[in-house]
Amino acid sequence: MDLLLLGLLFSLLVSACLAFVEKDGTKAQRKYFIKTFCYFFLSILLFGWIMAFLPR
Amino acid sequence: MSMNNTKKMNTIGLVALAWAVPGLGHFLAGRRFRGLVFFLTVGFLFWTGIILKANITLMGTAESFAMFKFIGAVASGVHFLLAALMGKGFEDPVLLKAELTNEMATTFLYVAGILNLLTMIDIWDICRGRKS
Repeated sequence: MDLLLLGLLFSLLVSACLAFVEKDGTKAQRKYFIKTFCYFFLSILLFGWIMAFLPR
Repeated sequence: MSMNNTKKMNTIGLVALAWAVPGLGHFLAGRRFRGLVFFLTVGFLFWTGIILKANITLMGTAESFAMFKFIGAVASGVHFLLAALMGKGFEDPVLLKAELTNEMATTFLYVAGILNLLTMIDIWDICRGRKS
């Protein structure tokens, strides 16, 4: 659960920064933010789920 | 000094400040919210990395891509200097690498540095009038 929260914070903050750096204008930034946030967070969920199958 | 030279000096100064304190360049250029987001993000990523037992690679060590790893850490500016003063991340690399969270933590550290490099490029573009 802690790692999920960490992943959520990571995705939120990094995608906000990337939106500010990459795009100009509020609308384009918001669209880019939502897109990158989804990519980051879904990737974290997917790889976390796959890694749960690894032997400990 | 001509107007163009003054502008260039301001740009270089803001980029240097953006390196030293992440987000400060944007804050001084009037993009306060953006600067705050950069400051919080770089700080959060860097210190989360340190708490999760990241190791900072020094230049010249016998590790692959040591120079890039060092640049990635140094790019966080004041956070790197604070960590160096406190000795955090500079403990025995063998012990740090044995930690379960070391790889993830080190990735956090490098993402913080690279993100700060991107913000430096952003403030350069803003000062040059290429971005709003």
